[in-house]
This record gives sequence, structure tokens and C-alpha cells, in this order.
Amino acid sequence: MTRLLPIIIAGGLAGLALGVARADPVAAPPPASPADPAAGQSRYMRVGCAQCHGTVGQGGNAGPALIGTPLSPEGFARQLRRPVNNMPPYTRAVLSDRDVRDIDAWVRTLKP
Amino acid sequence: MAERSGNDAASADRRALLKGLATGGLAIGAARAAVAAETAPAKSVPGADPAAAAIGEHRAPDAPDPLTADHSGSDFMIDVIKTLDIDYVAANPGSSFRGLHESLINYGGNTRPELLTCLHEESAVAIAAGYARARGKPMAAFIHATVGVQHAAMSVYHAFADRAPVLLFCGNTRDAATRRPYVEWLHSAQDNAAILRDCLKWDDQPVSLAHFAESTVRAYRLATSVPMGPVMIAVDSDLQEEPLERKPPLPHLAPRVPPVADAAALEALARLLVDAKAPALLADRYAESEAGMARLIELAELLGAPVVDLAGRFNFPTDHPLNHSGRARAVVAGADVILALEPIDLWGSLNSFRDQLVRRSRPIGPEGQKVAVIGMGELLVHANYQDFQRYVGADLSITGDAENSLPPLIATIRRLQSGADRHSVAARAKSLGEAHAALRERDRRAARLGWDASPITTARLCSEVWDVIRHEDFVVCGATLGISSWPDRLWTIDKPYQYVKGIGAAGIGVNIGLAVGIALAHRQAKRIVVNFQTDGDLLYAPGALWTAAHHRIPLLTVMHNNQAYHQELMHIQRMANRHERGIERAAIGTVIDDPAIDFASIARGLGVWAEGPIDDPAALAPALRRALAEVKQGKPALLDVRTQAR
Repeated sequence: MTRLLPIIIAGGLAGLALGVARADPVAAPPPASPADPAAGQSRYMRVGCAQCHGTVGQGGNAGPALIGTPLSPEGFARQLRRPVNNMPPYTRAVLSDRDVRDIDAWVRTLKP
Repeated sequence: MAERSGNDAASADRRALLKGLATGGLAIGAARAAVAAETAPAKSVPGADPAAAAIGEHRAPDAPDPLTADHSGSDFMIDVIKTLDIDYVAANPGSSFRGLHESLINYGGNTRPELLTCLHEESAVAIAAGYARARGKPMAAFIHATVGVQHAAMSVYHAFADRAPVLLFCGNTRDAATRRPYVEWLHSAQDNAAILRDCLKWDDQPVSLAHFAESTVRAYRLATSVPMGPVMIAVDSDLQEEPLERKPPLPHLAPRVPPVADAAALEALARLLVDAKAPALLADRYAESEAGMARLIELAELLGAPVVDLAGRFNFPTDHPLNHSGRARAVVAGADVILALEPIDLWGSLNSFRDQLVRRSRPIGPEGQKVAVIGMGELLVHANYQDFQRYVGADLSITGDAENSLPPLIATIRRLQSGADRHSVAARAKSLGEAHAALRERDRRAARLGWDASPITTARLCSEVWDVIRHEDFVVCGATLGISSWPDRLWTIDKPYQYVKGIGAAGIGVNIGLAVGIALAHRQAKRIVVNFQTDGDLLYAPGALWTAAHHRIPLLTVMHNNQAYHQELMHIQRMANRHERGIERAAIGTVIDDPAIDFASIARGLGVWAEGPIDDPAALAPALRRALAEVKQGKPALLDVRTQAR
């Protein structure tokens, strides 16, 4: 990436280190049941995460790598709901809290 | 000329003859004599058609028309073009320049320039633009009137936005009384340049051969004067085809001295840079010659300043410790003085921009940051197309060619720097060198992520290509931004000719033509030209591949085939999420995977060696070696690689 280019539109999940857990109205509530990484991978692909972050979370100039993300689960959810950068917002109307947890769980299975 | 009848023909020929004589600079008396001679018997009367006359198709002329001529105006036009050091003319054939075409291949011997057969005007102009960028001198293109001009338009805009010197010759038939019926009217215009003028540096429509000669040489001078750009001469078909009575003189192409910035302004800039605690250099459309890179290295090392090499030109070696292109935002955020060299979008480099429902921006740099500019960009600004980008009120804005202004700037800095300044420079350079090394290591680690994934990651793609070409004399071009700039991040690219950058108008459809032109420019030096080629772009005008095959232009095209107009797909995703409708339908209208397009078959159909699609990353390296073997035999080759989106 050599330019702060408007041509790269997404921005991505790891734009800021938002790893501090704290009460937040947009963060996901405590999980009612264990997250399902396999379901998360499926949702990840269907809702377009892979377009910017790659099919295995490797990242690119449209979005940073998710492998080894520094974000906490709460920070991950907060970035999805109200991105601090150019990433499109994923509100509850398009991605349930369950989906967010599942995607987060899958992302944390990714290894370099 | 078109067949005409009786008196119309006589009057038309008289006009033509007078016009031709006027172009030859003959005296009025000579013109009168020639008019008188028009009524005398012609020197030969072959081709009379009694049968046609008998059925009334032609009225027998008072005097039989001459049917042949030793030379026409187009021969002289080729004489003019041959004075201009132009190696090639790219053309898709068109009747409006048939005279010029025939004169080039026969009278001109089809050498310097040689005609390249192209299958689309978009390809022809793109090839010329790519060649011009790679060789640093103009290439020409012949363009058919009206329809050809419209086909060429996108590539002309690209050349303008990329400041590429391209010399366009467009046919036309101005005189309505001499046009052939029907189609020639469709292929004639009052002003062919009208639809291109917003992205031409200059154009003219000469009315005489002398006028053609002067305007063509003027066009060449303007195209090659910074800021460079495309120019167009509309060449009247009557002027091309009228018998040549006398050649006008050939104008002299006078050499130019590039403009250097004002000495007092450079003194002020040097003081600003010497006093800076954290100077930074942004280089964009800067390096136009081989000397440019060496001068920028000297300046950066003299100042201990990080360089951010932007997308306009290849300005700085990727492995140099002061190359900090991969941390552009941090560089801007930490600089107290920024010097931008030939910036294109300076505002975009100095500000962050949030593309959400409410668009917001804010400066990246600290309060009090000083910004200086050396450049020529404002000397070529047209009103319509907005390629001039957002306005920046720099603290010091210096008009001058940056590349040629660096030597006096460097000399002034050397004079002003104290021993303490040089000590600070050394400390900065050490710290920056460490940051550069960390950046390169971070990129190397990032490239390993998803190494075995299919579709193949763009990092793996670039790594495999690098392994195959790293010991060759290579040149890289194409859509490297779309593959996350991995060549910049992973490869050692340190020779000025090795990387042809420049997104021009950021349109698709031109890349394959540009690559063919770049490969043509390096053919004689036997360099391996690697073109990263997107699928969407190739579908606009794939015929450029045939031109490469036909003219034996070696070119290794490696596809970044993500089966989508991916940039647009992301835009649709953004809109869909903004409206909380979900993005699962964003593929409608943006994805091109059903049916999957077989690019290897397309390439083979155009006479180009090809393999693919390649989905398995382990299959990539052997395929690359096979493709390289073909290229080394002087042929184009294409590998269709199914890749990740970015």
C-alpha cells in the first residue's frame, strides 16, 4: 500500500486496537450458547468479509489480516457494528449477535 | 478520391488543386498557371469506362481525369513524421487515413515508424501510451474519424491523466463536396477533437501541407514538454490524397531546456528542509528519466528523510532503507516538513477520508506542519475532467520540473547544512533504516498468511513470480495496486526502468494495451516484462494480445483473476450495509463467474501461448517456468490464475 487511496474502500476490522473490554451498547451480549466456528466460517464467506479480508483471513490492501487479530471479542463486535474506519457497518439487521460471535470464533481458529 | 460526375468533379478538383498549390507555397501566378493547366489534356487516360458512361453512371468528363499520381500529400506527411524519432504507429485501419496508411507502408518503407496492427482504437492508443511511458518518448497512433475517435476516447483520457506523450493522427474529410456518399459522411466531423479536447494537451486540423508540417512538429514539442500529454492532428483526407506538386519545407524540431525552479524559491525550501526535525518526501509523478531516481536518493540521504513513493511513477528503490511507502500515514503524521514532488493527489496523502454515510476528513499531520511542493502539475489543468484533485494551499508552492530542480536544491542544502545538521541526519537515517527493516519483515511475514489457500493469495502469486524472474533483467507493470502492492512490498526493484507505475485515469480496459506497449519498448533490450492483468480489464479489448502475438512482442501476462469487478463489488457491499439490507446480493452485476471465463482459451484463440485456470498454488511455479520459457523465445504468454480478491 503506497497511497492513502480512496480507491481502497473497506478499511477493515483491525483498524484500531479496541481490545479493552467495557460496557458498550453495540457490543455483543454474553453468549447464550457456545459459538460455532464452522457456522462462523460460512457466515464470513456469505456476508462478504472475505472480499476485503481474504477467504482465510490473510488480509490485503482492502482490509487487514484477521489471523491473530489483536481485538478482543468485544472490540471485534464493536468494530463490526460501528466501524471506526471505512469498513461498512454490519448492524443487527444484517448480522445477528450470534453470527458475530460465530465469525469471531472462526477468526480465532485461524493460524499463520 | 471518390468517383464524381462532370462539373462537380471539375470544381472539386480545382479546389483541391488550388489548395494543394497553396500548401506548396507557390506564388499566385503559379497557381493561375496551374488552373489553366487543369483544362489541358491529362498526361494519361487509362481506366475510362465506356460501359459506365453508356448507362449514364458517369457523364464523360470534358477532359479525361488523371487516375494515378506519383506522390500525394500523405507521402509528405510521412516525411514529416519521419523527422520526429517515432519508432511505431499503432492503428486499427480506417478509410479516413487510408492515404497516410498506404504512404507509411510503401513510400515510408514501414520503418521508423513501423505500423502495428491493432484490433481496437482503445488498444492502439493504450499501446502507444505504454510505449511512451516505458521509453520516455512519444509513440504515434492513427485513428479513424468519428467512430475510431470514440473508441479511442478512454485510452486518450488515460494518457492525459497519466501525462503520457502520445501523438494521435485522426483522419477526416472536411470538404462535404468531396465526400463519398453515405458512410464517409458518417465518418466525417466538423471537429473530431471535440469529444477528446478536454483530455488533449493540444490539437489542430491543418488545411495545407505546410500547416500539417508545422502543426505536427509543434504537437510533438507540446506532447514532450512537461507536463507531457497526448496531442492530436486531424488529417484531412483531401490533403492526404491530393497529388503532391511540391514539398513544403520540413520544420526543424528545436531542442528544449526543461524548466528549473526559481533559485530564490529553492533557497527558501532548502532552509525549511535543513531546519526541519522530521522532514519527509512524497514523490508521485516525479521520475521521468533515469536520473530522477538517483537524484531523489541523494536528496533523501542528504536530509535523512523517509520517502513515500506514490503511484504516479517509480521513484525510489523498494529496498532502500529510506523507502517508507508502506507506512505512508505514519510518515505524514510524524513529519514537520513535507516536500511533495510532482504530486497528483496531495490532499489525499495529507488527509484521512471516511467513506461512510457522512463523509468526513481530517488532516493526518500535526498542527503547524509545513508543506512544500515542486511540480508542474498546475500548468496542465483543464476545466472539465476533475483529474486535478482537491486543492491544497501549500506553504511553499514552487513551479518547476521537480526532477531537474533537485540538483540545485541539493547543492543549496549542502551549502546550508552545518555539522550539527549532518549529525541529526545520521541519527534520523539510522532510526528510519530500522523502521524500514521492520516494515519489510512484517511484509514478508504477511505474505506467508494463507500460503496454501485456493483461490491463490495475491502474495503467493507475487512471491512465485518473483522467484522465477528475480535473476532476469525484468520489468514489472500492470495492476499491482489491485494485488495489494506486493511487488513493492516483497521484490527488490531498484532500476528506474524496472517498474512502470501510473494508474492514469484508473479506468479499466487499457491495462493490457499498456502492457503490450511497455513490452514493445523493452523488446530490443530483451527484458522480461511481467504484466499483472485483471480479468475485468482484459475483457474490454483482449485483441491487444493478438497484436503482441502478431508482432512477436514478448510479454509475460500473469492474471489476477478474482472473477469479479471487485472494486465495484465492495462499493455495492458498502451501499447495501448502509441501507441495512445485507450484502448477500452484492454479487449481482459485479461478479463474472457463471459461466467462468476461460482466459487461457481466449489467449490461445488470439495466438498467445497460455495455460490455466490455475487454482492450485503448487501448480503455479512450474507453470510460470513454462511461460517464461515461451517469453524468452520472443513470444507473449499468459497464465490465468484464479486469485483471492486482493
